[in-house]
Amino acid sequence: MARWQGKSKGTSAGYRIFVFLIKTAGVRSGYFLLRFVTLYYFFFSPSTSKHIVELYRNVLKFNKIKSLKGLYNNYFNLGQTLIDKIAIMSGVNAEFTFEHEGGEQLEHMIAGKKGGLLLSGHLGNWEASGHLLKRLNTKIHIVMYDGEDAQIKQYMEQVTGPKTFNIILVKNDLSHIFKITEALSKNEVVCMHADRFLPGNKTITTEFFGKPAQFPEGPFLLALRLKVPVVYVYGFKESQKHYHLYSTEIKTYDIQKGDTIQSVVAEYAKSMEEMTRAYPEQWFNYYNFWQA
Amino acid sequence: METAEIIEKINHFMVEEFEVELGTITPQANLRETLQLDSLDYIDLVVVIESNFGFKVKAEDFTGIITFQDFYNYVIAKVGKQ
Repeated sequence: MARWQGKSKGTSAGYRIFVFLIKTAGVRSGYFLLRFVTLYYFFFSPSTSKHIVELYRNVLKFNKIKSLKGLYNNYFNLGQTLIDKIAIMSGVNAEFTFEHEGGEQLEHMIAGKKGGLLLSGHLGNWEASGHLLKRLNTKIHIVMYDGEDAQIKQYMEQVTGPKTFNIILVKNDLSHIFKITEALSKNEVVCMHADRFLPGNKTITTEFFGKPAQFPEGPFLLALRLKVPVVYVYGFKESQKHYHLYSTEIKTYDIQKGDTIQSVVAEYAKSMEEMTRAYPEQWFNYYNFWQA
Repeated sequence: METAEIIEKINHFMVEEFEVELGTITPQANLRETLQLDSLDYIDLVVVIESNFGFKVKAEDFTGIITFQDFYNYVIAKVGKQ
């Protein structure tokens, strides 16, 4: 997989099996089944594995053993975070604990009454802890590309029960632009991934671990154009039951003050780089991130 | 605001904001292709219209806009109603 194609691996049937297991036998049973799935990906998914090993070996300079161990843990962490997400959304979340560094930033954001844009990447599992946003007492919108499997999305909506979040799909009819601006004007929060893009999307090239990498222009354009408060958010699993969430300080970008799309993207890339160094086994982009 | 003045203003901000050559902007040219807009880039267009002409853009306004001429007609009609 040279570039993200807008589809995530996994099938609706796979999700159903895990949801059934988690609901009937608990999260640990899901983790047990996951061991076998992890081994399968470890041995039989060279197209995704090579990009993770590339990160560990050539970018982070891990030795061979550490890289292979990291690869196994990476797949296992991804599986665990998906299981945790399902468990939390289904209400089986009593056993998880959360520590939120910078959580007050989100409260300040809402107090500012200008809405807010939360940017995250496929690094850790911030969405799994998304229920913590409930305390903000405002509506949360998640912007997604319409390329992801509709069956999975539909099924996940069923699992979550009454919607906690509203999903804004990026479509050709431009309705997403107006839904985003309307949400922000109502002091609501809009969450977007800021590290992946689909073929045809505009990108900005910036340094990421010392090499040029492309980031989607869209989320940063929104931040600049709408001058809306922005917080980068991350969530990492630190033990079987514990998540560490991070919210950066509120940033407001303004072209008049010298901010450019290039500088804004570079700032985000820097932040993502720091977090990748801290949690390399939770880097979940299984394609060549540095492809020109 | 006169029609010619509106068109000139639109062309001016298109060149400024989207970094396209003035020569590529013709009434029959495809707006999206010429400006190389992707799905989120339209925010640029919406913000620029609202700040330059002072009216609110709605999602449904864009359904019939394909060429620059369609876009001129849309803005001219909206400005005329103000």
